[in-house]
Amino acid sequence: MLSTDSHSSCGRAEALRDYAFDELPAEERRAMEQHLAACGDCALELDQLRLTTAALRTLPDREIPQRIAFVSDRVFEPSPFRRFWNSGARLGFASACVLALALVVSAWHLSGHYAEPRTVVQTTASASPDQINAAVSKAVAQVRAQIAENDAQVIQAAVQAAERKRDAEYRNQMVALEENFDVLRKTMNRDYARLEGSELGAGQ
Amino acid sequence: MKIVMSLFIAAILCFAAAESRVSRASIVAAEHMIDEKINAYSTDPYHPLGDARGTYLEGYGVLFTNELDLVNTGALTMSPFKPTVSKEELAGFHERKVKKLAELKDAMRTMLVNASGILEGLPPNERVAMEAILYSHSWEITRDLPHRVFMSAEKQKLVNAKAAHAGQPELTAIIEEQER
Repeated sequence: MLSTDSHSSCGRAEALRDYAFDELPAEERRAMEQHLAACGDCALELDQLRLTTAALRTLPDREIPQRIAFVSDRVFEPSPFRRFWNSGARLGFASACVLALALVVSAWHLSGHYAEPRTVVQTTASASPDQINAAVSKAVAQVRAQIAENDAQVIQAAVQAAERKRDAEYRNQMVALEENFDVLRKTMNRDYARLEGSELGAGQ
Repeated sequence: MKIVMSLFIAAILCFAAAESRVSRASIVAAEHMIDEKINAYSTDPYHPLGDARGTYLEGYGVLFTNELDLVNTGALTMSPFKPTVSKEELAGFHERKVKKLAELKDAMRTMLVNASGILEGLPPNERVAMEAILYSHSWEITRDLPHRVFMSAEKQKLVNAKAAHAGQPELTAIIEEQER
């Protein structure tokens, strides 16, 4: 911004500025040129003006910012959500969200870990209580029969395993007994032979 | 007459050839020596299952056989009153047997040397042999335990070793050993 203060003592500051920007008419321009030739202050003032002008022209041209707005414009008015968020209801809303999340998590946890096996019984609207009881009794009987069959199979397998183990132990005992008798027989034969030899020796 | 005399001499030579060169008395003496060695006092004695039996094989030499259990199973023997044997008992039993097997081999080498001195009628080029039949129960651990141990050596080598008071390493060098 150019200064409007004049250091000239001639009182021609405004005319000097117009002269510097080539805005004076031709007659006044010539008169100013004659004055500048005679007045050192005005000449100095003109030099300063031109120097300032030259310095300003070296700066690059820039676009004027487009989004300039005033605080009072509607642009700066808070949105309804922001007004709500900045209001006193914010704490209540956050609490409600946390509570809802806790309810969802606890419900999922219970359904995943403590769900009881469910038996879906399909009935028709026309089934009578007697029919339902009969069907339930039949199902119970089938389950009992299956359990009894499984128990019988388990017991049979256990009995067979026990019998095999007993037979193996019995065979081992019989083999060991036979071996013991064999050892005993050999030992006794040896003793009898020695006894017989000693008797023969004594007889001779 | 000459013919009759020739036939008589030929008959005498035939009977002489058929008669054993090794006397029964010397074989029995060797048998007793082996039995005494097997039955010698020990803190862990063998269990003999018969006396030693010696046989002269014409042209080969004398073979002694003996059946024994390396250790006396005693209380370890399975019975209706003791139907099972623990793993620790089996392992200890097997360890004792392996140790006794090495002792038996040393004893057999010594017995062969001693027998060579007793069997006077045995030709020097024939052999003295001994086979130990090792008894083992069906429930035993038989790893590293042979069923039979056979040793044999030429009589002259055994006589020389006895005269030189050879130790076990020297005896091992001259005695052939087989296990199966």
